[in-house]
Amino acid sequence: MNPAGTFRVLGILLTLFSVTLLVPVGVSLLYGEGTEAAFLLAFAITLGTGLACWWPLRRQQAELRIRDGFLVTVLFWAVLGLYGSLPLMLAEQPKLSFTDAAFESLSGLTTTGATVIQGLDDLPRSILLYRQQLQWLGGMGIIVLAIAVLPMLGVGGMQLFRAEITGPLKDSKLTPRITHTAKALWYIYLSLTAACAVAYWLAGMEPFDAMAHSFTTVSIGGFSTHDASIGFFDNPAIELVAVFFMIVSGVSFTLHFYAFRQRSLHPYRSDHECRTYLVILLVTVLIAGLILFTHNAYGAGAALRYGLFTTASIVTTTGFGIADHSVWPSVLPFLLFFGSFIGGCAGSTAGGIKVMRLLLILKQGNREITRLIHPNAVLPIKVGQRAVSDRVMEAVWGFFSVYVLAFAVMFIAVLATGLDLTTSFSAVAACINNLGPGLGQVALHYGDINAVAKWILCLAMLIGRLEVFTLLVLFSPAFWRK
Amino acid sequence: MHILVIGAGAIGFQLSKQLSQDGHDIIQLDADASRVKRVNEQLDVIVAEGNGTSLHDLRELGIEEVDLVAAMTTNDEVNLLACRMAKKLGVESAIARIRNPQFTAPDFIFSPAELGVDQFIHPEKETADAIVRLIRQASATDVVEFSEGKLVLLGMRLDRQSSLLHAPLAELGRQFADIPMRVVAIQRKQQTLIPRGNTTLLPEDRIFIISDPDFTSSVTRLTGHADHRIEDLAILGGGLIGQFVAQTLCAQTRIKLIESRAEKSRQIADQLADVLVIQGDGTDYDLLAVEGLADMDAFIAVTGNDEVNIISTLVAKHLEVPRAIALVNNVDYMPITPAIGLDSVLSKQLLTVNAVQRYVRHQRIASIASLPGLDVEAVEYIARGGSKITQKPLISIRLPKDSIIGAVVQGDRVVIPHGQTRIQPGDKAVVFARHYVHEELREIFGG
Repeated sequence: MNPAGTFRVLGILLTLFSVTLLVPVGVSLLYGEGTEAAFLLAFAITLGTGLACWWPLRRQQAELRIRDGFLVTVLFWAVLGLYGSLPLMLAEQPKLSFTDAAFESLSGLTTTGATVIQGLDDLPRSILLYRQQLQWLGGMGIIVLAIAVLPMLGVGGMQLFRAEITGPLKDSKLTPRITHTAKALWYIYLSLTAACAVAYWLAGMEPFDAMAHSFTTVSIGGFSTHDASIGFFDNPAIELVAVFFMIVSGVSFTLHFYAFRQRSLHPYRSDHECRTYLVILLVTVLIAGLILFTHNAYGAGAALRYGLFTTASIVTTTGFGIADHSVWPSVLPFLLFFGSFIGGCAGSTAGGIKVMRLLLILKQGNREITRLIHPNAVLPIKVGQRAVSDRVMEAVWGFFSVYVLAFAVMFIAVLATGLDLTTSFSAVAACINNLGPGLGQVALHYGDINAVAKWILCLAMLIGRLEVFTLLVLFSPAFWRK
Repeated sequence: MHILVIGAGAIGFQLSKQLSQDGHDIIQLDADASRVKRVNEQLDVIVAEGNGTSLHDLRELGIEEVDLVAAMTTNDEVNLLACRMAKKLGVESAIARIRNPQFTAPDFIFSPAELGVDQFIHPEKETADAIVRLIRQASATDVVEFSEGKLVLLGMRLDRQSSLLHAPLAELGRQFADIPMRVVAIQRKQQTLIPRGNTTLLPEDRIFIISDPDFTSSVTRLTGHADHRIEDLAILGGGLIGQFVAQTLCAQTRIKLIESRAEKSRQIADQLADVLVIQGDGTDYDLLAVEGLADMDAFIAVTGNDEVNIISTLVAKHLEVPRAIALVNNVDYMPITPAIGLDSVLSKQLLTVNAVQRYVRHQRIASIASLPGLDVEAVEYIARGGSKITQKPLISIRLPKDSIIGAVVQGDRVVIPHGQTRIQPGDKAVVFARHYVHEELREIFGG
């Protein structure tokens, strides 16, 4: 354990984050909204804390070890959740309570997209943009951003990178240097965001909304500047843009990197996980369309439109809405919520268990069946050309069981706070999968549920974003032993 | 530069670590999964499981983007073939580690160009050469040459009788102005200091002095050591290093070589007629005593086992052998060696890494040495025309804080620089600095 190094890096990261608070200050001045005082105060507090942690230790050279990487990552996400809530508490509007502000800020950073605020349309634009920006920063990860722009993290950056990036195979570096890899990821992320913003604008959004929604589409977050979410625009072109970019952002950024470098679509076509992901989406869209068509008053076209958008939005764990899906035949929301457990590809900005893990678990199941027929067969599990080691398989199984267990425990806990079955199930699923909106009482917003449930859901969001083990390892006594 | 390091054993690992720190992009390849895992966890490089002689693996790793291949496995044939293949695939330069001296012999049937190797690195030979330098310079703990032997860096432990104690360095400089020397680093307890004019040396400090090689005996006297010749030498370990050392020194020195393997002992006895070969265990205290270790002038432990080397060297120190040198390959042991009383320690890894670094950096700088247990690096820079360092006298040039210019070679002349010295284009300067300021220094010297 290296407390000095941990605090030093924590200080650096907070300082970096504080700078991002200046963007809403600018927006506030631009539109004359008068929220700049709140943001400047939050900026000063965050910067002050960051420098207080960093400055006394700036000469500290000791490198972070694996354990320190976990500690820094978890502490940072937790601390950031709290500091990110400052503007929401300080500003005249929405003037949230501590619990609500922390929930909103964590929901933003973890790209969950669950909100406690009603009346988004009336909020100052600086606050709205701030929420969108939180999701955008959380999507690719502020730590990855820090590794890209701050060379002083050194080799320790690698430990942080592993703790923050998603997926079962974390060793697939794109370039020899972690800083270059982090930079490449952020460039891709930036380009996708820019492309998405332009597309929204061309499809008919006004520039502010286009930018704000591109932030939360590419980060697979789901915050909107309107209570009615994407449904506010009621525009099929905008919905198509959203669907396209949600699906693209759910694909592994490693594939985007190779596709860009080779200037071809071949990496997507040849990647097993990506193909499975698209097939899952396609099948779910067809089922959803069919259910809507047969059970409801929708015509074929409308059924397909709602089916497509809602499936893409929920299965990728974005959480945009165009219609109140809680009034649909109850099989459909539940089907989609189970879909959100799968989520996107490993190494994307999506939440959930990830397609790669599901794929490996299915292959493992298939192997057991083959083994019953050929008891002595040697059956390596392969993804594409590469055999997956048993060590990885064990890790995937471990992840799966702990994820399901964590879900079950938090589900019971939320039920115990007095919420009904549908609300509890959907709220915990929506938070652990970083999806956002739920069903029942939380179909539109999370403002009405009790404080204890909100804190449990905060934990669920963190567990989901940090993929369970990064967080849980801190609760192991062995972690703290010298 | 994009560098492919083949092999991730002790040497390959250290090499990647150092080169990556130096700012190169490293791709590493090893056939052993556990080594790959270790690299992946500890170094900021891309590492893959694979074979350096497999065309498929080389292509998979993007060999076309690689500028330099360093083949560092323990297998000569693999290293040579890997270099040859890499060259054929368009890699600009290739470095091969070898053990068998026949490949570098001038009368070998293939020339280095035919083998596709630009630079051979012979870790055992490098180590043996370093040991021989130490033996010839009997009271130094370290000896490193710079500028083709025009400068020598001596590591010495200060004796209580040393005339360098009790006065600040600036005053000593005036007092001994006739001896061209400068103290460039001090190891005090576990810490490395870069001295300034007002620093005062203490007894038991291990100091590093850069000097003209003609004056080494005067320098030795100043540190309080008698300048004695080594006549009786015991070598523990009959591996390649031990054999090379024995071969080089057997003309001037009486050598006893202790080797535990019977077969190996016989072989060495056949090959090296002038060397007395004794078969036995190096940690066997009785054997060492019976063989008269106490009467030896020097003892060197160069078995393949670090722990045996350390223990037997401590035994030799206990028996008051004036000079005891241990080969300690595990770099992680380096910080503790001074604490347990070993002051002369060599590492095959570090020497090899330095040799590769010299090659990699040879465009910009002339030489480099990292010293075991010291977090200061010595780098020899060539001052380029028009660079910052040649513009003004040294006193008006801002050098980085943790650095000191030890000596300057102007043509054939060795100059110990002072404030008024002006460095001319083409001069070579040996600079001691913590590794993180070398980037800055490179700019000052116009690298």
